[in-house]
Amino acid sequence: MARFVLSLHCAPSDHDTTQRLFKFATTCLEQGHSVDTIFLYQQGVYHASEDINLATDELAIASLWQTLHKRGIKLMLCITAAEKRGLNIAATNLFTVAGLAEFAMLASEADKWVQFK
Amino acid sequence: MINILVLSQHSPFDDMHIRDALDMTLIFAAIEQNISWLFTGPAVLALKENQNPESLGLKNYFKSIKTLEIYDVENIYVCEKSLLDYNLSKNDLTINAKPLNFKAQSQLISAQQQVVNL
Repeated sequence: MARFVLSLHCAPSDHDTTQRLFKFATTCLEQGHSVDTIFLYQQGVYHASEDINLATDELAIASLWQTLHKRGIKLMLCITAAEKRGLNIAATNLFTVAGLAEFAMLASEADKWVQFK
Repeated sequence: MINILVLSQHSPFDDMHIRDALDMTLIFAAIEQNISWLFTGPAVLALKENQNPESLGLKNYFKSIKTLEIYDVENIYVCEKSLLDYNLSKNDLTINAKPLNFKAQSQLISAQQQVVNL
């Protein structure tokens, strides 16, 4: 069984990429693989913003993250990328604020790093 | 230690692509992995001498690219064809980067455990 790390590079407005990440992560777990982390980088950091409220007929992004979190996947936010974009790192929903080094170490140990963008 | 390649294909003025790639490259060097960075297409402009981003109101992060040498990141590569496209030669670049033809780029990518597009 393989160890994956996943990174998300697009903003929450990219509903297709967000859902592809969700489907990939859940399928990994269903097939017995492990997902060591999902890491928000580049525009992906906006997924951690607590200021985004979507209408009920839009994609329920918050509930996708809740599902992944409940399944025990570590959700990480890159502090370097977040600070460069002015994101409030004191309020980041289910995401743990982490340094790039922490992610880089997980990526170095993983069998596969898959990017979603 | 793993072989990991950062692949840049965006202009240095396109969003924060090159800055994000620089951070990623430096961190893999810091945790002592075998990091390489390949610039192709408009990304080669990130290494061009005499850029003046302040005139566009942009932060001058080009200086930070030079820190790669301080952190002993030696595997910096540029696409040979992209240099030609932008009328650049190896001597126009701010850091020592090795030009690679398509075949050598393909070999470089094949030698990696992880390849990341930023």
